[in-house]
Amino acid sequence: MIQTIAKKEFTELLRDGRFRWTALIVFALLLVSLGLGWKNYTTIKREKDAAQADSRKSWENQGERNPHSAAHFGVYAFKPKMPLSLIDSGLDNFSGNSIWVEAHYQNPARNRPIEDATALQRFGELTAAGILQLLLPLLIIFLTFDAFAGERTSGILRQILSLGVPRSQLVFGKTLGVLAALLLLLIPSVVIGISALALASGNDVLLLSLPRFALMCVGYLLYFVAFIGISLTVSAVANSTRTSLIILLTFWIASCLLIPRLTNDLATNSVKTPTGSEFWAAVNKDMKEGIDGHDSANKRTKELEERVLAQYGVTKKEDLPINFTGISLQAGEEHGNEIYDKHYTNLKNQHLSQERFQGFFGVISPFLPIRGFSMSMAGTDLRHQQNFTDSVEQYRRDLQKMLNDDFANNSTGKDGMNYKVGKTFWEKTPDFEYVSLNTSNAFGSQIFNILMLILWSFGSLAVSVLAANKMRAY
Amino acid sequence: MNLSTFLKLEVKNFVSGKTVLVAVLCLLLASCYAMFYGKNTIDKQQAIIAEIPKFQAEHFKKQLELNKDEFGNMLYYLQHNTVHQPSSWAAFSIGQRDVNPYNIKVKMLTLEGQIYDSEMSNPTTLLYGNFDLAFVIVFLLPLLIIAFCHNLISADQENGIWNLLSSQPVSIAKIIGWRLLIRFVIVLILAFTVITASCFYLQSAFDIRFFYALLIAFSYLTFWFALSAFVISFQKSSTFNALSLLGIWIFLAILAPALLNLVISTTLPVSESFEVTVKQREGYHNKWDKSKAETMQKFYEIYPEYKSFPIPEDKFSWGWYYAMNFMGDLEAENSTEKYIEKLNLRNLWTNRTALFFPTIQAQLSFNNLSKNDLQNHLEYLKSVRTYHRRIREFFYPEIFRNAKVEVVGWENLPKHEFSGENLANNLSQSSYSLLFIASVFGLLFWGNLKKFRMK
Repeated sequence: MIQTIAKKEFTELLRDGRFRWTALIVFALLLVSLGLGWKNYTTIKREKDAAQADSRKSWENQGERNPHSAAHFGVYAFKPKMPLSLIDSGLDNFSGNSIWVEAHYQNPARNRPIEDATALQRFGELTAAGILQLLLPLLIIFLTFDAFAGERTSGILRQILSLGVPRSQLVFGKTLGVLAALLLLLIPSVVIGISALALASGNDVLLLSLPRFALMCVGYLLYFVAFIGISLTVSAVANSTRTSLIILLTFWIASCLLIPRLTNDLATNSVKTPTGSEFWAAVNKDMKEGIDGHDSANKRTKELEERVLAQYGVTKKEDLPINFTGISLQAGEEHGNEIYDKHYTNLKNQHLSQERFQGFFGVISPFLPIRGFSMSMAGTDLRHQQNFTDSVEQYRRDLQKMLNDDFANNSTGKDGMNYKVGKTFWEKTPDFEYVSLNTSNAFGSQIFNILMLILWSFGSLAVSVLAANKMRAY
Repeated sequence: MNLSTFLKLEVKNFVSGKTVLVAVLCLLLASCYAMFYGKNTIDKQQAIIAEIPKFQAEHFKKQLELNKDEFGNMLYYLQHNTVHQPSSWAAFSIGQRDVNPYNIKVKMLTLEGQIYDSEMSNPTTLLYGNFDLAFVIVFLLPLLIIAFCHNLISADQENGIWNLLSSQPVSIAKIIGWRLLIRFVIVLILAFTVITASCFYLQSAFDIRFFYALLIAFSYLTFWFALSAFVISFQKSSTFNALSLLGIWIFLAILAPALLNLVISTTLPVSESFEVTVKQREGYHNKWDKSKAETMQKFYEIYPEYKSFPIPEDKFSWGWYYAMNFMGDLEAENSTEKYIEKLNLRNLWTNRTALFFPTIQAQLSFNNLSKNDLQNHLEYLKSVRTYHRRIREFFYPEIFRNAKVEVVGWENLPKHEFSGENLANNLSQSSYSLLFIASVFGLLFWGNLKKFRMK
């Protein structure tokens, strides 16, 4: 029975001019956004790869220098563009894209594209994800707002029900029918999406991205089912097609446009974050007074000096077989690392809890969980950004240690800052290579959003069955 | 039935509708929240700005104590605050104010390395944009207009009152015209109330900007009315009208701006932003390995007055150190200029496309009115560059003379001032394009109305 109803709904939709036209428009938009996403992806990837290579080249060719002087010269680490960002660019335009890796400082990521953008950027972004999240629900509403209300007016509903068709089967049949019609539009888009992905990156990257891509598809499917369920429910309850449409459009405007903006502000105010000045003032205070507040920088250096002198049994730094400056610099780095860990971890957690806070509103808007889930699978959400900054920091620490160790061990106390190394050493230092957060970790952070999507889709289908059971037939 | 009875009935009929009341209430609530949101956002920034003089004084005092004996060393640490003061209309349209830094601190070191330091804000909260009054007017009020107008003719046709109405001595065209006018006046009153209330609540200066805000809002809303009138004049069903108007709204408010943004950012890529950071760094750092005379030679080309002060080749001197820092900026100058030029181009093209898209035009005009747009940010950065130059030039003589900290005339230290409040406004032009597009649709509607046939 379900099959027959689904088939009837499906053929009806295909014959319907409004489905053909709107589906065509949505499909065209999906194509355009995938095309532009692909173009954007390749351009930015090329730019970043070139910048990364440039930075490395000038590091390797910096000539003869003291390792610590080189540490001050520094290198740049650029955030690689994620392959799936051509579908969902997520936070890419709102977060920093490059980090300057230097001695003593854990710099925040800079070069946020939003700072180079005009007000146009704030209207929203045309990505495949944006189309799927905003317009597909509208298409669903458009196709189903009169599913019951329309058939009731025309009297067909009464006839169907008089045949003894169980109402729940009617709901499932209609759901499947609409879904099948949507898939007609989505499957070609998926094929095109995968081809764009394959074109933009090599086969190995494609293979790595496929599980994420598949999960993304499942998330969107749940999201669409949720809207079909909501739409069928309202259509069953509303007494006219016009009322049904108005209620559904209001829901769409509220959940896709208003709630995201409204909850933004609530999320920002839910957890207080320090301003840039406050953050750096706190870091500098700890640097000076020591992380526990009573070991001043001078005292720490003095203690270290005494310890090293005693270890080598000499009385003056100049007599040391190693270079004390290198040791002292590394000790300074390690002390600094503790302080950065403390403050940056705090800030990161504050940002995550703001995000979590906003996520809770997924209870009233299915848009929020799909948005979060899609970004996460695309590798463009907050966690992936934080993972990037963490990796750069790890790279910075490894690089600093390598430079300081070489400085300490390969020169003596007498050399001071006159010790220099050249190209062969620079070539030995590692280059920054970013390995993205793995899929299972990303998925693990999305449990709440996934639960919300499941709840919305199954919940709304269940409610629509209830509504269908109670609806009037005429 | 004469016209006045008809009008009275129409107004009564419209105002007593439950949907109308709910919609207007929702809109008023949204406006209240938007005002509160705008005020809250700007107040937070103002609170931070208010603390700056205190921080600055403490910082100076501390540095002066710590580095009494080495003036050059003190300048290395000395930080000078600059502030982009929000205008009194800032809360009306937040624009890019939540994104762009408004408190850049500069030291006497290479400027290009400091000027792009951004706030450490959470990118997730920037993603969805601001719920300010401009958002209510640009995005939500058109939806109200659509809700008001979509069944203006069709409702009566669908209820069967149409035939009754058309038997009256008042012509159909007049009935439709009056109905539109009633709704138009109600929406304008609503917009006027909201803008006036915001002017009081947000304590925006009551000057020419108030009238510009009204002018832009009214022209923008006129456009939506003309468009709605045009669409309903085809006498299709309420559902058809609602959906096609909503479709147009989605196109104008979401799709077109996003598409244009993508086109502009891909055709005008700013790879220079990476270039500037890298160049200034190399420009400065390479000087450590070069002979001091070579660096100073370039410095003297711009500041010949310091030629007479000796710079020792074999040891460190502060005059050379700061000259070297200046070289970083000088070598990045080319990239910086290209970068700013690109941003100006992006701005120009955005303004040009706005002529054809009322949503973009209204939003840009509001951002410009509140002085929270890219152009203002660029002006601010320019003022920071000038300030940095004045600071450098203020200290150069003392550095080269190896002056003692005590002799510096601190009271003459240049001060930075930049406020959106003092920037000129001329927004009457942006209303032209809005009104032009509105009148095109108005004429089309009029044409359809002339040919009006009873259905």
